[in-house]
Amino acid sequence: MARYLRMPLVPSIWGYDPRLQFCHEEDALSILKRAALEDTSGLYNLAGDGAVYLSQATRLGGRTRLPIAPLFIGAAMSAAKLAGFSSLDAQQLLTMRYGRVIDNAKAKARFGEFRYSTRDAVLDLYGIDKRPVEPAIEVSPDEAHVAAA
Amino acid sequence: MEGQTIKTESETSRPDKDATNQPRSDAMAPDTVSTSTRNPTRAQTSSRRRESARDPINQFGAAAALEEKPTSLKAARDVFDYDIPLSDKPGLQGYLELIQRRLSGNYPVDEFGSDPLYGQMWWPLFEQLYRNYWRVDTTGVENVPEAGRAMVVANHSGGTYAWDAAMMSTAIHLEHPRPRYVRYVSTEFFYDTPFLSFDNRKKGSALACREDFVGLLEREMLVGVFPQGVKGFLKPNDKRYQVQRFGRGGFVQLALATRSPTVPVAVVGGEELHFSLGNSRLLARLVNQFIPQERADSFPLLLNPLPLPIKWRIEFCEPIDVSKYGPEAARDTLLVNQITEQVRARIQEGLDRNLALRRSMFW
Repeated sequence: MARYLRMPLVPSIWGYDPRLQFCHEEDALSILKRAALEDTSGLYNLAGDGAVYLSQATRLGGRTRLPIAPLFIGAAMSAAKLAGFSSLDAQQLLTMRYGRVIDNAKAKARFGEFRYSTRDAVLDLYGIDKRPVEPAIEVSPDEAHVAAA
Repeated sequence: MEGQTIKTESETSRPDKDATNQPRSDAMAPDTVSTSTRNPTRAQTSSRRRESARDPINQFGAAAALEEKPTSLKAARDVFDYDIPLSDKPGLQGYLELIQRRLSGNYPVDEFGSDPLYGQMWWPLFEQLYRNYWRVDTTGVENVPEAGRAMVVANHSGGTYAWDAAMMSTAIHLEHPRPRYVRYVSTEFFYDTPFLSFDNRKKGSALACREDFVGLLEREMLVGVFPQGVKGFLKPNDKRYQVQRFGRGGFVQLALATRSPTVPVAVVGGEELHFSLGNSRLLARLVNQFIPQERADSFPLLLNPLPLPIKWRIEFCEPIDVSKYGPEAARDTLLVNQITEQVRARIQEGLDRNLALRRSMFW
């Protein structure tokens, strides 16, 4: 997935913009380590908080999307295979169409907060420093007064 | 809940017309792309929500600064409950800044996929349709709670696009003393269809499944439901304004479980936009051939693909308060059916009342 997003032209499915979630390697490793060392059993959803759209992820990384019409997806995949690129499997293709967002509350309750949100993980993937999302929403005093009146 | 269709449209800028209805209009810039007003009462809900570990704002670090001065007027406004300021700069500069921000990817998106910056883009179009094309008369908008979880339940119509959902959102956006987004829940069908898939999500709608529905209500959102579902969307002409059977009352169960007040809404106008020639299974199968994964059962054949300039009336009826029943009442089938029927009856009465108030289809 990281390799896919780092491509200069990111192929996507025309007419779809999946919501994606990412878990940073550091978070994944630290949780695996804790899960192995401590007495843990059960299934946990691991994913950074929040979600990004594929379009947003590529914009954050300054990449361009290459939309492919759903009808030609099969052809494009075979072409990519022939050209020596690795191809997506059926499951990944579904993710590229619909996206997936999971509830990480159980993992957070067990292992604590994730250090990287989905957005931070995407920024890190592109080697960009963490930065807060704009705008930080605030009500200025005079506006608040007007609205309260 | 799969019987529930819905669609979305929420978001965006404020009007400057109709100052009587608009206590905040003096704070509004005439330019739709300039900073929108925010409201301090929002702080109450925000502070409650801030405690939740899944607060969408926290993910973006925006809440961190706010924690330090909780009592100050600089209260958080939940981006996903209402508009975000688009730009502080006027005119062209504001537009350029907006485009730049869009291209940098630096905008918030919540877990359900609401993208306020995208949604706000649609307000100018919806405002034009609301005021000038369909000349919508809205009554009872004050029945929509100003804050906290709530549900708006309406008859559904459409054919091409859920214009009724768009107009309900616009009505709340333009007429409500403290506007908020309506987060509709819609069937899988919309998420299978190209373009509608992300358009819906970005405008704030979610999948009509139990988890998403409860998730939105737990975040104190206003959820829009169309229990008639596709039956309403693909309605034949002779069934206009006759509210069809409501799924299995799933929305009432969730209202009881989450103690959300339910506001029945009667939308007159939406059902006459298109003259339906029937629904074609053959065409649906053809569409399914060309769009992989598409599983449409029937495809509407319409005489006029473009909606007619019908006169609309939207009435937000008296809310049904279910908080007197405990959450365990959700398992009481009899009570659920009773409340479902009450909601259905209130919508039907509202439709009949508003149809009588209209002189004709177009006026």
